Amino acid sequence: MDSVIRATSLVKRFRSVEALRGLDLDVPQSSIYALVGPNGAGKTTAIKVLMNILRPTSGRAEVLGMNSTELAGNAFAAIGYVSENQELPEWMRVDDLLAYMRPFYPMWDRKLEDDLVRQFELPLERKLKALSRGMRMKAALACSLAYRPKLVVLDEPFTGLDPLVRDELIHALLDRVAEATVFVSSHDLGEIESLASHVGYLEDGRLLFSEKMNVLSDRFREVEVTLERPAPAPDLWPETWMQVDIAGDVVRFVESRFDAGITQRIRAVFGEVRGVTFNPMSLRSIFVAIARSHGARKTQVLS
Amino acid sequence: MSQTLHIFRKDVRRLWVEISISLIALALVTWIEWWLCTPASNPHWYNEVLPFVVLFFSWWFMVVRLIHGEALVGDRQFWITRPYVWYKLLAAKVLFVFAFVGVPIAISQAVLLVADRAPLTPYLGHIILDVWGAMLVGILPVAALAVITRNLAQWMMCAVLVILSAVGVAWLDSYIPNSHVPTGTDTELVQAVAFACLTALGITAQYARRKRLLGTLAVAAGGFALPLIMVATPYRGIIARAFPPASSEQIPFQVAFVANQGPVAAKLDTGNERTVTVAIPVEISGVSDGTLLQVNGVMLSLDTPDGRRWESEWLPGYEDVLKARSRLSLSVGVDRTLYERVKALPTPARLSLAFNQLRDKHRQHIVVRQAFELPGVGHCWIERDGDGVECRSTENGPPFLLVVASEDESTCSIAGGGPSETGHIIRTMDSSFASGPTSPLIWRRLYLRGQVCPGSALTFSTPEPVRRFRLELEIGQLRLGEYAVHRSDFVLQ
Repeated sequence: MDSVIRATSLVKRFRSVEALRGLDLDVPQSSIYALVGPNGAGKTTAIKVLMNILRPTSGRAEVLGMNSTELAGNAFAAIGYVSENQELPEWMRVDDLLAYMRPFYPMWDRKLEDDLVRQFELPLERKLKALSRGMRMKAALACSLAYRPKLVVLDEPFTGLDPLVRDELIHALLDRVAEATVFVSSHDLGEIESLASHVGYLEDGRLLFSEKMNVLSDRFREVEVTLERPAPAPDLWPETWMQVDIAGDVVRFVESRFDAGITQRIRAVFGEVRGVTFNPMSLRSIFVAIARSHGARKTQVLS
Repeated sequence: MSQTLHIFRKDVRRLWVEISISLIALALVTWIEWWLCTPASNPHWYNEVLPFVVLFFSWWFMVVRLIHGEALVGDRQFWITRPYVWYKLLAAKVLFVFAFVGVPIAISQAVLLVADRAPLTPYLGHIILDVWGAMLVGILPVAALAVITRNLAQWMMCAVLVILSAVGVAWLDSYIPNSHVPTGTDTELVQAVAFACLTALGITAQYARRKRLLGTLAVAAGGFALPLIMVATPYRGIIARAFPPASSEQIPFQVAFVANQGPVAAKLDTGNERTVTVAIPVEISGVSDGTLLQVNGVMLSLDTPDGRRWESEWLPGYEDVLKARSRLSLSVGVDRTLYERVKALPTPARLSLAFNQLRDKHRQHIVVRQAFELPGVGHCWIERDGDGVECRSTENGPPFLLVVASEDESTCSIAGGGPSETGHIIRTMDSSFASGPTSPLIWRRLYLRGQVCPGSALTFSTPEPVRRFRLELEIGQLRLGEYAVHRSDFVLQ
């Protein structure tokens, strides 16, 4: 099994609203796959369909080799799912929750549980309803990692948490999931950058791209070209250039397919130039560029 | 099983307050059930009804909280992405309801039986049936609403809708023709079984699939089954089968129409905008000693002036014939338009009477004390004002209890100022009714018009049904207007 999650033409419609519009997704084994995209892109819906919380309108998804619509009961013994808006049994104390969860999982590791409790500094004798949001998320995560799941699914796990707690959770996750596959959705790109090995960008229910994190970082560059003299913009920019901005004799753009041929492509557009600089981009900058470029394209289509 | 027990234990820990409240309420109700069946009882709404309301509310609240602990509606619940096996979860909930509703009811019943010094073994079947009955009537509808709602507020909104629907069904029931004649055929059991099956199916489907629409449809189907069965039940055919025709030669008594000799008083006023109540006086005579009759149903047929035959609905008779000679006034409803057309005309009429014949059995002539044991029935006592005798019996006691008091054998004349007429005999029959879900005891009251005091001799017997039959009584020419009941003529007896 190469893919832990595989979705094909997944569609989810809520009456007239199409939340997923033919989602194709492939999450490789042992990867930390980040599904990113703006609010309302369909990330949570995609995860809920994959976890069989919602039924797809059409299309098919497989999770750990099982049709997602059949995912139930014991199949969840190999999956750890934590969501920002999950309703926990708040009347329970933290130690009650852990003790209650233990018998459900044959692979529950008491030592790992103790380690997680220590690492997260969980107050065992406090009720969940008395915990802060960060502590509750830690408790949920401890309950989802202590049985060494093959797949960890996290839906916006870091939303609303302070940076310190976020770092703690990310480190814990990285420490504990060496053999597991992690599928995490987020619109906070900063935290994903330090975590993910793969990334997929979802917008309007469609996956715009999905690739390895290092390939993505290598592919994008901020380019600044200094021309010999100010020149008019050509009728058509190269397809791989995004957010082109001309100010006098300086042209700035984002190259989405950075390779050895970039200099030639620049010369093909501007002729001889005075200088070119290439700057690596953060994940956040890459996605802002993609989002803006995609938005501009949509605006063009609409107009 | 281990997962079932694990979830069960968690629910017990979570709902210990609700469990405690329901057990305390049941203990109180058990005590009240006993107290109501003692001479000391002094029932009022606050001690007779209120504790039952508290008990049922505590059960309902507990069951709703139980089910909403793992709510089946919604997409944010913690448990839905955990390795819960649906049928084990359902089994845990069923186990909880049995443990904290069913078993306490059984214990409450056993306590009452022990207090009544009744042997437990013969009542085990009744106890099991009562537990199932309480589950079916008291818990299943509540659980059905809980599985299709997300929280208590949603559940309460649905419950209000269900209560309004129940009022509608009760209203519908009052308009279903021929449905109130006691036939011994348990159509209510059919309704209950259909309702229970569909509702249980809805609950199971919701646990298995968590599809709110599917679950709601199944639960709603259970609710709709009641009025559908009510409307579709062929009551007239059931009455015809339950009361086969008998000729006057085949019956051990005579029935005759008695022409009107004064104002008519009716026991049952069926009149409304569409019908007029007509009370037909009938005399039943020649009833042999040991034979008792119940008039279970009455129907009037008229040959209208346009040559058609018009038939009324079958109405319940509510009349017991306990003497050799009795005069009865039997009410039927006549279509108002027809009535206005024929009220002054002599109209050929026929009365159909549905009888339940009983044979008097196990007569016991007893000189009663203030409190006394009545073998085969239970513990009895004389009412404080001497108006009658009250008895406490168990659910599987005799269905009928007859008492005959003769003023010649009454001792009340000494204590109460003298009897009215020497030789006057009072007969009263009580038929047992279903007791509440938490009690196997039945309270019976036999009204004797102040003629019983310690030392009086009474004859008790336990009549048993012999047969049911229908008798057609040709009335001849009837002027309906002479028998119409005006509202002021309506009497409660």
